Amino acid sequence: MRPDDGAPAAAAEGPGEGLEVALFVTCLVNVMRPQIAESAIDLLEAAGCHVVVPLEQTCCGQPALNAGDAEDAKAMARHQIAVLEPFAHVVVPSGSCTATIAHDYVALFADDPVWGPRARALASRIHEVLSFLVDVLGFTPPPVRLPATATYHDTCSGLRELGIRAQPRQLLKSVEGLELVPLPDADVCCGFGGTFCIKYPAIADAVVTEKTAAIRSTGADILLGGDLGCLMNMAGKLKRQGSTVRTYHTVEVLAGRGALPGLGEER
Amino acid sequence: MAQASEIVPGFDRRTAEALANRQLKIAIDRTAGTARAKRAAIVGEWPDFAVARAHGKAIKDHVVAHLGHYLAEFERNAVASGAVVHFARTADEAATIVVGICEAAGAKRVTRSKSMLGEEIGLPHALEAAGIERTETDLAEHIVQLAGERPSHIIWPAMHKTREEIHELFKAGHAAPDLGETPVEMAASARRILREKFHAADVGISGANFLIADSGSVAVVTNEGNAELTTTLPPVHIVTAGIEKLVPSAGHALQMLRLLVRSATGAAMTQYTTFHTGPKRAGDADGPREFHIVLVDNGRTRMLAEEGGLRDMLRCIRCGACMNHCPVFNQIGGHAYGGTYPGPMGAVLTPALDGLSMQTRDLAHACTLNGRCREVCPVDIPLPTLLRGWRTKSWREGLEPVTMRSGLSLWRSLATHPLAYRLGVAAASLALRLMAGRSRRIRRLPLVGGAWTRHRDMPAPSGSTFLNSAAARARAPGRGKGEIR
Amino acid sequence: MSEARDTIFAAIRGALGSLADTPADEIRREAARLLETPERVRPILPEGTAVELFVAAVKRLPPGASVERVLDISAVPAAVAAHLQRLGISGLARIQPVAPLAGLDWHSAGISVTETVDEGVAVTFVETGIAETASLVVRSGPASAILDSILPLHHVAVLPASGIVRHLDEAFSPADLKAGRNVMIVTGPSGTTDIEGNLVIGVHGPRTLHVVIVG
Repeated sequence: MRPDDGAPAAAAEGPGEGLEVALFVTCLVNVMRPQIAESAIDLLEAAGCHVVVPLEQTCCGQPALNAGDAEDAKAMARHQIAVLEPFAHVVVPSGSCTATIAHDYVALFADDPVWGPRARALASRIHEVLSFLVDVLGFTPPPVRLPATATYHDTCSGLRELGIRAQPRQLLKSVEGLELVPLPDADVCCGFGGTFCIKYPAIADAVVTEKTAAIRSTGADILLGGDLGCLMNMAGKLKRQGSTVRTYHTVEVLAGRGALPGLGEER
Repeated sequence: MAQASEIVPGFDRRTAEALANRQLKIAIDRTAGTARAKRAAIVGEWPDFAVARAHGKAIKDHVVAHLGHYLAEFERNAVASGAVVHFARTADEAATIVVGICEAAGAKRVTRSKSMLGEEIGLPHALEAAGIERTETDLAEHIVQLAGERPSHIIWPAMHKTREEIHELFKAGHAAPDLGETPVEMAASARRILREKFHAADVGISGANFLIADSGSVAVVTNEGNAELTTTLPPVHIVTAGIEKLVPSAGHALQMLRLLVRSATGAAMTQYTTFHTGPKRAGDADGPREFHIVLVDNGRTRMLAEEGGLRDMLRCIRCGACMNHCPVFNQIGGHAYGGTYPGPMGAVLTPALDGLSMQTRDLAHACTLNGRCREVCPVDIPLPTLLRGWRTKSWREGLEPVTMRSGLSLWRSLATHPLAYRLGVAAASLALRLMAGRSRRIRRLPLVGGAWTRHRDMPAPSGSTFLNSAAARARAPGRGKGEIR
Repeated sequence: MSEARDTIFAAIRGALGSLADTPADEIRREAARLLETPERVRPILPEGTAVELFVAAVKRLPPGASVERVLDISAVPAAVAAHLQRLGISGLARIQPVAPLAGLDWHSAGISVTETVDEGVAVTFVETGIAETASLVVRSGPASAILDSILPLHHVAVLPASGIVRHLDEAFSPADLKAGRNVMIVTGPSGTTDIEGNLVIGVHGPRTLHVVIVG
């Protein structure tokens, strides 16, 4: 229950212990699937954190960065740094956007005497959400029930740039009845690659076709991952193939939303 | 006149052809898939492989940082051992030197063991233009020569060919209409045909895996032993090597070899690893009378100048692990890249060697930046960073499409004006929801979105945007998630 | 061509800037430091003597590689004859004219000595073996042609047990490279996987490599 004046609730119990964290929702989550942000907030609050949503947030600039457009990327980066740096912790439900802010911003401003230090400071305080819950908070989510089999795709940026692999699997242990089956070649790219799948659609299709074959071969009911772009790519292909596999972001299942419609599903 | 690696225009056309080729995919899966599995197995047996890898990187960084010192030391020691050392600034210059040595020796026939540098400098074409018969002796290069094609992989040049295709080539090329179809029979036929060529060659041309500075030696590795036959039988041995192949000593080379062989083929050691130091000596039982080493720049000093950028690419020891693990290479194969070198290392090198242009810019963009290449690189080259570097250069040189430039310009305006951003993306969200209707999925998007929906559905947004709902709550506090600030 | 040489060296100097002024001594010290702790960058070898490890490593080589051990060099001809019999080929072989092999009684073992090595059998003497990779270190010389190990279809290598070192990095010293034209590390028979990744042995070098460890 929150007082009407918008003041934070009394410090809750839990590893988060009233820790204030800002949520950077990311463009895709904002537009395509807000329940990922809501689930992330649920989990952070259950851990005792006080979650703030800075309204001025926009895009981390990854599309410009990946297109080679350094100037536009810097403009977006400066905006985001200014919006996020007042907070002691920033949490992001996406490995790729976290990596952009934590690593690419630092490289972008390496020679900038003003923005370099600010980028480096923010880099040390920004976390992907699953990693934050496990590595920083040591949090065990309250148990929820979802009797189903699921398979996990390790998104490339989360895996290789942030070392996220064990954390989601550990968190998912708190989901009663959920059986995780390993995805063959889980660490092979799904073919999303940001604008890659738009610029080189035929190649991207060949890659995601192999990925969905691997997913279907597991016989799992559910596909999970930590990056919405990749999940949209795989879910979109699965649906086009007529598959009944349901796709969610990991935080949705952890927050008890695993029985709601998955990506691209009707109510 | 020699022609340096010719870039074949039309990346899209080449990838379309490759993607339509089912046999190519089967061939790629067999070769690259086996390579991945074997590499994983042997690296898995070495718990501290990461230490060896970091050390290999340190050795190469040390050499690159002192390239002039080592090049001079190599030259001194090679000359002292009786080798003739030549320098070539460009691909054409290198090919001209090689042809010149052949002509001075009166050579009519040469044998070659595999050398990607030889491909890079256009040696096959140069020898042909000079009327010198060239026989490729590496089995895969022999296959590729019979097919009139270029290599499609730096370790398995003929990986794009199925057994049936090779059978047809050998039946014709070996004049053996009754040739059996098994790999054993085909290889035996090649052994027979090529054995004559080995003995008849006037000149043998090889590459170099390592140039050993403190002895002036050249290290060449093969599994077939064809390099020894190529370089020992004829009276003249010519080595073509990029200047980045230097290492301080054989001890350093042996440490690099442990990384190279595991990364390339998943074995602990190549079958033949030969260090050549000068020509035949008085009293030697065999060996070439003349030993020439052609040291080639061809853009490497330009890469050297880019500290923190392309200089890192000079660490490359040509193992091929990056392409074996690349999801794009595994779909399109090597020829689609259009240059001498394919895969991630090729995407970095091709614009460096052949210039950044409309033809070469695609290579850096046709990449998901997934980073697996960097993970398996035995010398930790930041390939995704270097590929992004080419994208940045390409942008600065105005090679990127106008639609992309104006699109990103617009996006930047929105992303630096929060209210406009929220309204703009909310409008997009509404449009997508209307397009999806009740089905929650969009099967066809207009304009650039069509590239997505050609192959997959687009899930509809699940409701109004998160930030719009948040903004509404900020204006009228009530139930909702998080504090809006 | 000295113009090309000058241009390249100048380009290197320009590219490296102040790095190009590093004193040679410092460079050599750094290079030596990189070789200082070879044990850190070696794969783990199981327990055992160098000979035991060599024998075990031969078993991991592609088919066509084999190994046996004899106590004394005088037993070599009989061992070679038995090996050729197992292969089902005649007892005609080129014996490398090196001291340890030259004085042996090949005739009594039923082996006829020939000069021809191409596509035949060659018996060579190897001073050094490497346990880590089951490799032989072959050095060119007046009586040891490199091609003795490459041209035959079947190669037998006689290797003293005392010559087996444990690690690849112990294979030879810098002086070895300058002492002869070729140092060649041979690991198993020749082979290729160029046809659809299928391993085929005996292209273009030997199809079999049999190592007779002596002592």
